[in-house]
Amino acid sequence: MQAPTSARSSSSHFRAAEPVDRAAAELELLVLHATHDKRGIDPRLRDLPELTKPPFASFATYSLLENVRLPLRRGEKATHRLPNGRTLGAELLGVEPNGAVRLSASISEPGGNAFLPLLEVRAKVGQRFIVAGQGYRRGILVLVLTLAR
Amino acid sequence: MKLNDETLMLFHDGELDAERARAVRVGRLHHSEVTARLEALGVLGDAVRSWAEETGVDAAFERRRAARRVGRRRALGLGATLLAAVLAVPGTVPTLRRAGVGNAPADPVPSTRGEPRVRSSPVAVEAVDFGAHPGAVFEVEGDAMGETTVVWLDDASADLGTL
Repeated sequence: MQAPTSARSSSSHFRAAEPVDRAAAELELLVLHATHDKRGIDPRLRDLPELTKPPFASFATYSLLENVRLPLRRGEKATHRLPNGRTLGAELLGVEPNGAVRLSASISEPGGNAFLPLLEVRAKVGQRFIVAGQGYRRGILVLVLTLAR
Repeated sequence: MKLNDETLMLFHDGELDAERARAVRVGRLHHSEVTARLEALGVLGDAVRSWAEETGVDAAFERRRAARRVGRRRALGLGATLLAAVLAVPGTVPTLRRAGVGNAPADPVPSTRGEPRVRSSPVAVEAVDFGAHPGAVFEVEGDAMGETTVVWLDDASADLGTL
């Protein structure tokens, strides 16, 4: 499991000193590996019925690679390095009066080029969305992002 | 034979000649990467077709394709053609959506039947830029509380190898 990092941070010391509970919102990230091996779905993922529905049902195996929490702050991008070497970034854009949170996400290549330049979503606490399809070790990565608070 | 995306998309559309289709089937048997890639392209192709049907792009594209058909060695399937067109013009990838996705309100929508319960609208995708890669936004059935928004990325980095 890797700790989330901040775009403003430059050292692991700073990362460790950045508590999640100071964030305005928090994103839970599950990194899953989907393959066609015959090993089934990790029991820890039983609360994700989406994995048994098309198109996800076409993969026979889902394993949980990582479970991390990304603190969301306005004007500050939290980042997390994915198993395929790319980096997921997320940033708080705003909180609406009804409690809905607007956030942006992006995925960049190791060299810094954008793979997914921009994704902006509006979600409420407890809601999740999935970013899937990146190739990884004879399968794909499935990123399950839930607005935790 | 190198199984690139175009070949696999043509196979998905049933438009490969018998010899090359056999090579893909063999590849699928022995290389899980081929199956995974076919699945990914199938999802994307379905989304492209859905988007094309909704927007009428397919009809316009068919007219242009028919005009160019003379002299072409082969005709690509709609999915492959649209996908190729999308791939060929970075930055012009459409935001592929299915009905009900997009700027739907994030507020709960009360159910009017059966047990009183609240079904949440899915997470609303307000903007997406897939960059140089095609992609799709759609929904899948989630838990009892509603559907889940999915952003599907077409990643050509998967190495399918040479068969």
